[in-house]
Amino acid sequence: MLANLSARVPRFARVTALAGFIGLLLGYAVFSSSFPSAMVPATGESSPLLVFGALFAAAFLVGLLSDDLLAGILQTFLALPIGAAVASLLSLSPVFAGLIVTRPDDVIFFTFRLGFPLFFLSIPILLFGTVFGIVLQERFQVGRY
Amino acid sequence: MNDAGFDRPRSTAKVVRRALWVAVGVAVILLVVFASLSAANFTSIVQAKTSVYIVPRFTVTFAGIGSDGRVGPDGSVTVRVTAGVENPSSRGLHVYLVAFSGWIRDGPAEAGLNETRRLGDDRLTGTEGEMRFFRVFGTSSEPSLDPIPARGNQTFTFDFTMSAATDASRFAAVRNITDFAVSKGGDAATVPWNQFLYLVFTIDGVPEANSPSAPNYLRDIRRIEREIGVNIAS
Repeated sequence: MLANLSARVPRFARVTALAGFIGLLLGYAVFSSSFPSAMVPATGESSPLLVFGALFAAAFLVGLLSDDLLAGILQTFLALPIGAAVASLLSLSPVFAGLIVTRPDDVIFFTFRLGFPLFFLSIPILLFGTVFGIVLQERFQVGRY
Repeated sequence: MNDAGFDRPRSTAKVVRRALWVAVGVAVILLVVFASLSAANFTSIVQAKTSVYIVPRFTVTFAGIGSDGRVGPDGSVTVRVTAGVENPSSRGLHVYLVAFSGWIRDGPAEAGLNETRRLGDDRLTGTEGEMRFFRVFGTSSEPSLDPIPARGNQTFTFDFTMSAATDASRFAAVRNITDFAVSKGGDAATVPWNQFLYLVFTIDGVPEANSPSAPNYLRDIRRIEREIGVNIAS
């Protein structure tokens, strides 16, 4: 049983690491779509094409490294709360710096109200990118464990 | 077929997998760097929006006062607004809009001597009850002024002058009000004023959202609005 568990640890670590990568990008994308002028480099408005393109590319990369379809889907859905946490942390950065201008939950709600369309649309994009990566991985035996 | 024949594709796959993990690692590092810079950028914008303040001073002077203390027909009234802008933030600022309104307390209207102005004046409720104020100035402009440096300050002086040549009817009303004060034993300079100053600054390095569909907050995020005084315009 212990051997079975220790065999699962690398798989779990890979799923967590890849979900963390997607979640970090998703959180950054949600924050950048809400406050594009605060980005580096700053822009007046965010480009949805660029954001979705980056999410798809990252999901594709993650798909190439995924163990299997189940892990790929798990990573996508695990990335959603991680993305939410990253977007919340970024939007609360002025509060952490001691500039309390409003209630923290208002800031989070504001960020998610603005970022909700991106958050919602990212699910099919991430799933499609991941599955596409897994299919290519199966076809060309790239990155198989 | 020897072992090497089977090992070659397997080792290639291993190299590719390693390269893909390196790509993920580099992407994570870049994301963390950009996210940290963006958080710092966002914090500096919020700091600028919350910490900038104005130290105002208003001075009203009358020119052309006769020996009887009344403002003559060829006189003028000038309101000098000195706005010291303190910017403790790490962002430079530019003055985008200056709006100023100045009202003089309308004694004759309050006494019921001028029905038109009594009905048309703006009202302010204070400790003395409801007061009537005649609007002398109401102006706004987008001037080109020196920038306010980061962690610095800048003082701006704006003069608003009115005479019979610039606005005959309003200046006549001002003269009527100051004459009333003189007739009651006071002088033109003692008539109370109510001033309202509205300044809009833009934060350097924050681009403006230009598309018509851009939400309002994206236009507002680069602007800092400050109000001094009470706007009693009805």
